Amino acid sequence: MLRLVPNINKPSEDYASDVESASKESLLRRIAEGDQKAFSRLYDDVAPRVLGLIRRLLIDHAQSEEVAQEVFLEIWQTASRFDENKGGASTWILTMAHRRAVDRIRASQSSRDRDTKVGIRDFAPEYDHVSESVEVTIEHERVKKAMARLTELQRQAVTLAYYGGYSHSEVAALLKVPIGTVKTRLRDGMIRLRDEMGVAS
Amino acid sequence: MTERDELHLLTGAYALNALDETERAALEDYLTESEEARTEVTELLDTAVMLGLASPPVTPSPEFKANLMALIAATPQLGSGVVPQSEKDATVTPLVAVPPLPADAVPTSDVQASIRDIAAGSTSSSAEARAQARWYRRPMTMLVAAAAAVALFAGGTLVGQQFTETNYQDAMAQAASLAELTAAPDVERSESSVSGGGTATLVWSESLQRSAMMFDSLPELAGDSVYQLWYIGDEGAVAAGTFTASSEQDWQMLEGSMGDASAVGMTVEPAGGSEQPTTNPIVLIEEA
Repeated sequence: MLRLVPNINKPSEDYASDVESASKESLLRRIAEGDQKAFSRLYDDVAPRVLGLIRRLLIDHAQSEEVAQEVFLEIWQTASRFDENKGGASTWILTMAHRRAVDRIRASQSSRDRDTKVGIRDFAPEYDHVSESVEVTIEHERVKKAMARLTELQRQAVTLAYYGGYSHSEVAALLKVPIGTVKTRLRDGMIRLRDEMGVAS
Repeated sequence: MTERDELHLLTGAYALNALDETERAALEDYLTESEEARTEVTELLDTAVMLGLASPPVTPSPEFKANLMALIAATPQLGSGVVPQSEKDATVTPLVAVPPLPADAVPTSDVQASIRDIAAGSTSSSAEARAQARWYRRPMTMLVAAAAAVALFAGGTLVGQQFTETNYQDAMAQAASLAELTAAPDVERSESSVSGGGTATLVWSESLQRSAMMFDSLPELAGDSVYQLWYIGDEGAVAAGTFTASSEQDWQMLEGSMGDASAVGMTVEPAGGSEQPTTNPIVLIEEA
């Protein structure tokens, strides 16, 4: 039950790197080796963003916490599969969070039906209303500006897909446009956002 | 349009998770052979992440993290290496599932004990004051008024600490214990500030007769000092375990059972802990 008391006079050798330049990528490498302390730090760094995103899609707080727990367990279990060559740690983590939230939405068909009835009206305005929330991220301003450069159809399609968790066929049904058009608008909309925000590898 | 062109059109929908499983698999195959598509997908995924970061952040409760840290301590990790195709999309299943606290588990925080109030001899008729009265029944605790708070700041260093084989077993047992506690139907919680910085949340269950203390940014202690927890009842303080601050585990199960204790306190004690508190409590929370 008692914890071992660390010897204060002999700080561990990685003390300096520990306190200073712990990038999320290096934390993930340490997590892959079973370092719980690194996991705790990574959690502190990203948890509000992860839960914020999931909550945005699922709305329901309890469900959002369940999915966030799944995501963090997956990070713990699969950290060794993180490949820096394929993108940064934030991308890996938030992509996983988005995917798990979408999985949850698609798994619960009943709430899906309800959402589909509610339709687009509840999603498009919600995006604008985010600016009224207590805490607004820097990224929010960038995204808002970039979104304003999209055509109406591009913006609706991207918003429904990303924040609504709708598949492209559902987006097509909601917007009453052919599915081929939706695929194209999702791609050129995202390319436009990429260029507007200067996201390039 | 060729099949490759068709697939290439899906990069946007892929980055937005808007494809069905069949299309998703087809696109992922295509990505292995087209560098151009790989680059585009990488950039669009980064763009999607910007959309994600534009959502208002939501900070999870301290229990959420405590549960999670307990879970990972008991969850084996997957090795690296090539992933079999069949395993690629398998959902990762945790060994133990800990239900998150119900959304209505609001902190009662009617007990806000701080060393300032204690030092100032605050005599408010609050639960805090009643807990203090009990605390002061022990003459030992009259010593060294603010020394504990000073000691807290003197050693604000982080010391790396890995689990050894032996204390790994302890960690597993503690993790299971905390999971059981936070899932108890009669679980209650109360929050208080820690004199010296940070906050402490006491979580307890009458039916299980167990308690755990969770911390947010508890400082490391100077020298060989340890934190010691106490169950406080009519008979005074009963030792409930010592520990050191650690960012890898920011919660601690109390040893022993609640019994008739009506409050939990925490002091800074010399290495090994003390039989009775030798300093004033830096946290005092009533279990009621």
